Amino acid sequence: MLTPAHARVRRKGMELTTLPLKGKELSRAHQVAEAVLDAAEGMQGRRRGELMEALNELSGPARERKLLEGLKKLLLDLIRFEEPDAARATELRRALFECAAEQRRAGQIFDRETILRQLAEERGEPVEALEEQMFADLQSEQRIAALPRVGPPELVERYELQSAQAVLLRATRVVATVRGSSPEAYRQLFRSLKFRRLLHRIERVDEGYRVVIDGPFSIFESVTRYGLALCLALPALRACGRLSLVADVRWGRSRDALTFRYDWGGGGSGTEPPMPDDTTRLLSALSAGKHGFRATPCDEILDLPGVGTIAPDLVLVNDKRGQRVYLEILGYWSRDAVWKRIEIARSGLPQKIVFAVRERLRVSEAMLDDIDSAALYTYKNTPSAAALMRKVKQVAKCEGL
Amino acid sequence: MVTLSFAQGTLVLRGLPRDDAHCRDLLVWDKRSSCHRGRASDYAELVLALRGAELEFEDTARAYDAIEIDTCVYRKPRPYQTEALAAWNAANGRGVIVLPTGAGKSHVATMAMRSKRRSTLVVVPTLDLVRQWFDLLRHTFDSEVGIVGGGEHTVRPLTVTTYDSAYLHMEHFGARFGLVVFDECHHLPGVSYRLAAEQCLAPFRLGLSATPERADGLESELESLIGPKVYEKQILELSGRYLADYATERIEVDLSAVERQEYQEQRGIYTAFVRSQGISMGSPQGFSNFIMRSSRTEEGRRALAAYRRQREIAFAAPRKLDVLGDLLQEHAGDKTLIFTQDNRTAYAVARRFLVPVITHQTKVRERSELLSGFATGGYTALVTSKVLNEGVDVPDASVAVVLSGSGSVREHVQRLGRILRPKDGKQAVLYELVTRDTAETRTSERRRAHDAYRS
Repeated sequence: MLTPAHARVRRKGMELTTLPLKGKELSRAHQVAEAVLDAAEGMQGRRRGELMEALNELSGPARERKLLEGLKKLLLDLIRFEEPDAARATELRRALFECAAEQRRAGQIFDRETILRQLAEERGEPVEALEEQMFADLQSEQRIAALPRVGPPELVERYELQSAQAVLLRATRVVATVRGSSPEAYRQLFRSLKFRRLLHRIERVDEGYRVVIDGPFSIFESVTRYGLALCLALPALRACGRLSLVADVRWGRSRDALTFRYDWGGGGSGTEPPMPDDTTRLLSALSAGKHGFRATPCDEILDLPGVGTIAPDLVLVNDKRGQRVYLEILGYWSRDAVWKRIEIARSGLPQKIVFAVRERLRVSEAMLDDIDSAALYTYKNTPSAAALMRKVKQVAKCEGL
Repeated sequence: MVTLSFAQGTLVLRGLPRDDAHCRDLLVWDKRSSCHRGRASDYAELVLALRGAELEFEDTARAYDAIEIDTCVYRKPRPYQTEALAAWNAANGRGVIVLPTGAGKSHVATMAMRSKRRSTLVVVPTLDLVRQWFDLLRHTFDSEVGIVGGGEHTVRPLTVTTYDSAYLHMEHFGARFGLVVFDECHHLPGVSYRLAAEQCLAPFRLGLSATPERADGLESELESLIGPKVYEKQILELSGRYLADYATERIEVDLSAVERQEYQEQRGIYTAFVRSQGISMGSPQGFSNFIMRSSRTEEGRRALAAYRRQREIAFAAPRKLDVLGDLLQEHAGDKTLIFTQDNRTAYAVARRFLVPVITHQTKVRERSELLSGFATGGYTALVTSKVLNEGVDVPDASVAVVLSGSGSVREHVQRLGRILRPKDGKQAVLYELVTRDTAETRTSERRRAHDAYRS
C-alpha cells in the first residue's frame, strides 16, 4: 500500500487534492511505469537486494519523484518472494557463533578463517557457501518467485487509486456523497462500512446518499485512528458510481488540519467484503428449513428520512403471500448501533424488520416489544434459525399472516 | 435507569436527558448515537462525580476485577523503591516514576500491582520486553499471564502488550484493567500511542522511564495521560551501591589518507549545497529542510548521497572495526554488548567477528535463543543496532562498545544502562569509538551531555 509520502497532491490554502494524471502527464506516467516494470523484467529467481539496486538506478526529474517511488512500491507489493530457508541459516549462524565464542572463552586469538574452514570441512561444503548462507534469511536475500502480470496502464491506475487512499490514511472524518448507483453497489458499500466497524450516518439526497463516516472517539479529538478503515472503504465508495468525497485530514509533519476533496465519476469495482461467517451459516440454515419463507441476501436500503438508514443483511419472503421481512445481524457491532436501529424502528420505519443481536451487547428483546413491525432477537454465540423464524413470523403476523 | 458503559474506547452514559447538567465537563452529547459520551480515561473522575451528585446508575463499563495476587517470589525492596511506591500511592495511584536502567523499575511495578490488586495491563515498546515482562510476572505471581502482540492474543487479568497492539486493541479491552503500567513511558505521548492511554479506563496508572524527556517536548503530556512525575532518581545517585560502578572511555580513531580524501570530497559536496540553500543545520528544522530541498534537484540528490557517504565513512571507519577486534580480545572473558547506528554495520560486525547479531529482522525465537545464550555465558558478545537500547534485561553484561550512534542523549544513557545491573565487585566500562576530525566528534559531544558521562 502507498503511504502519504507517495501521493501527488496539491495544497491550496487549507484544501488538498490529488493531482490527476491526464493527457501528456498520463502518457509520461505510462512511460515511467514501463521503465519500472522493465527494471524487474527477467529478474525471476534473483535476490530482492539486486532488484532494489536495479530500481534505485532509475531516476527522473524532481516533479516525477513521488510517482516513480510510488510505482516502485506498487511493483514490490505485487511481486511474490520465496520464503527463505530461515531454519538452515539460523542453524549455521548458531554453529559459527558458538565456535567463535568457544575460541574466545579458551583465551585463543580469534581466527575467523580457521573457524569457517573447519565448519566447512565438517559439512562437506565450500567456505564460500557458508559465507553465502550465513544471512540468507535476511529480506535483501529473498528470491523473486513470481513477477506480476500487469501492464503500465494498470500500474498507473493502481497508483491513482492508492494515492487517494494514502491521503485517507490521515483522515479523521469522511463525508461522501454517492449518486446514481445500483442497489447492489450501495449494499456492498454499507456492508463494507459495517465490516470495517466504522460509525456512519446515512441520509438520502437526490439520486443517492450522503454518508458521514468516522469512529466513536472522533467526537473528542480528530484522530487518524480510523484512517486505515476509511482508506480501505474507498474502493466500495468509488464503486457506487458518482462519488464526491470531502475528508478532514491531518497532513504533513505538523499535522495541519486540511480538507481533502476527491471526486470520482468512473464507477469501478469495489472489493466485496466477505459475508460474515454467522450470516453465511444462518442463510444456509434458513434455506434448509421448512418454514414458508425464502431467505436471500438483501440488496435494498431501508430509509426513514430524517432519522436514518438501514442496510439489512437478508430478506425473507413469504412463499405464499410474498410478504417481506428484513433481517439485520448485529453480532459484532456496538450497543450504539443497536440503539440507533431501535430509534429508527420506533420512529416509524415502514418495513418489517428483525434485528439479531448478540447477548454480549446487553440489549433486551423487550426494547421493541411494543412495536409490531420490528423485533429484537438476542443470541449467545450463534443465531438459531428456528428461534429467529419465530420472531420473523411474529413480525409478519401483524398483517394477519 | 441510568447506565454507564464502555464502547470502543469511550464511555457511554444513557438514560439522562440531552441537556442534563451532570458532569457537563466530562461528557458531551453524541447525536450520532443519541447518548452522552466521555473519554474512557476519565472513568474514575466520572464515577466519583456521579456518586458525588447522588445519581443512581448502573456501571457496566468496568470490566476489571479486584484480583488475588499470590506472590511466589518476594524480593525485599530497596529503600528508593519503597519511597517511589509511597509517592505513587500518595498521588492516588497515578504518576510517573523515573529511575535509571538497572535500578529495578519493573520491581516497583510489581509492588504497585500487589498494592492495588487490580487486573493489570503492562504496555511495553518491543516484543523482547513483552517476553521479559511475561517471565517476570509469571515468576513473581502465581498466575497465568496473557500476551497481546507478536501474533498472540490472550487477554488475562495480568496481560502484557506492546504500544502498537495497545493502540490497535485498547478500544476492545480497555475496560478490562484497573491498573495500567506504561513501561518506557516516553513512547506514550506520540500522536497515535497516546490513544492507548485515552481509550483505557484504568483508574490506576503507572509510568516508568529512565529518560522521560523527548526531543519534541511532548513529555509534558504524560501528566494528563498517566499522572504527574511522582519520583525521580538519577544514575549518579545510585551508582556504586545500587548500580554497578562504571567508567566511560572515548577512543578516537583516524581515517586513512584515502578515506580522509573521500570524506572531505563528499562532505564538501554536501556542505556546499547546504550553504547555497541557506539551510541552518543547527536549527531544529535544519535536517528536514535539507531532506526536503535535496529532493527537488539533481544537485540536491547528489548532496544527499554525499551526506550519506561521508557519514558512512565516519561512522563505520575500518579502523573502528580493528579497535573493536582488540577490545573483544581484551574482554574475551567479559560479557560485551556492541551497539551500532545502523543494521548494515551490525551485520558487518557479525560477519567479521562471528558475533551473534540482533536487529528488527531477527525472529523472536532466534532472538530469545541468543539472549538466553548470552545470559548463560554460551555467547560472550552480542551486536545490535537499536533494538537492545531499551529495557531488555541483558544480565551480567559489563562491557559496552558504542561503535556508532545518534546524537541522542537518551539513546546513549540507555546504552550505558544496559551494563549497570549490579553484581558483587562488578566494574562496568563503556567504550565509545569516534572517528577523529569528522562530524561524528560533534555527534558524540551532543550525546554525552548528561551527568552520567563523567570523565
